[in-house]
Amino acid sequence: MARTVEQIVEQHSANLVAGNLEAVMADFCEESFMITPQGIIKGLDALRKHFDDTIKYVLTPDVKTENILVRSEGNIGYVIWKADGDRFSIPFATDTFVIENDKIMVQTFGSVVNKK
Amino acid sequence: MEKTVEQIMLEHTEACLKGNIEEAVSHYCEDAFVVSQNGVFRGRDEIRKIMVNMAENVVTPGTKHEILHIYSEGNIGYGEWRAENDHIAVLYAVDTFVIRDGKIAVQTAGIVAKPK
Repeated sequence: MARTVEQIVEQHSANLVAGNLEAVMADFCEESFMITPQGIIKGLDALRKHFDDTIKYVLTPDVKTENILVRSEGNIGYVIWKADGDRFSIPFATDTFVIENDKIMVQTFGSVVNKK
Repeated sequence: MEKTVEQIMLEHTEACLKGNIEEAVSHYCEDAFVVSQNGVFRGRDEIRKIMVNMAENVVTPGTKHEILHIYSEGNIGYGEWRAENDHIAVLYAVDTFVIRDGKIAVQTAGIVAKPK
């Protein structure tokens, strides 16, 4: 049975926090891209590096994340979340997802980061 | 000549900052929707209410507005910004746009704002 948009968003979040890079990548395809404050990340190789770096250097064991809100409309997913760790806090972050055929075609991300 | 996604975003930003509500609303498809922390707003009538709220409470005349980043890829636009006036500080905001036939079909918005 096909996943709902909210299920895809929640599983993406859970896979990332669990450090399961392969599960994260399984939700993207070669045409996928991401837009972040640092720019555009296109294709599976670049996305793999981005998420690998995120798992290794951002979502370290001291970092606790919490989804505040997950909503969807049509094929659009939207999440508000926050995080706190020893080196930084993220009091606000939001991701938008464009879903097609059970894949994340587009993900955008923005956040407020406070270094400690 | 067809407008680029970034041109559409910048024109929409300008209309919002000038309080040109009907012009801002005209930038959306009839069946557009906006997803934000406050909910999902479907169709131009509901989106007009957001524009009115923004004009009356957030980007009032004299607001200092700063675009932090603006990117586009395919039909997706992304903008981060902040703003300040006498009664509110928008510490951080990020918008994602899905553009269809030169108009905004989907917008997601996240904002961190503090009244003064």
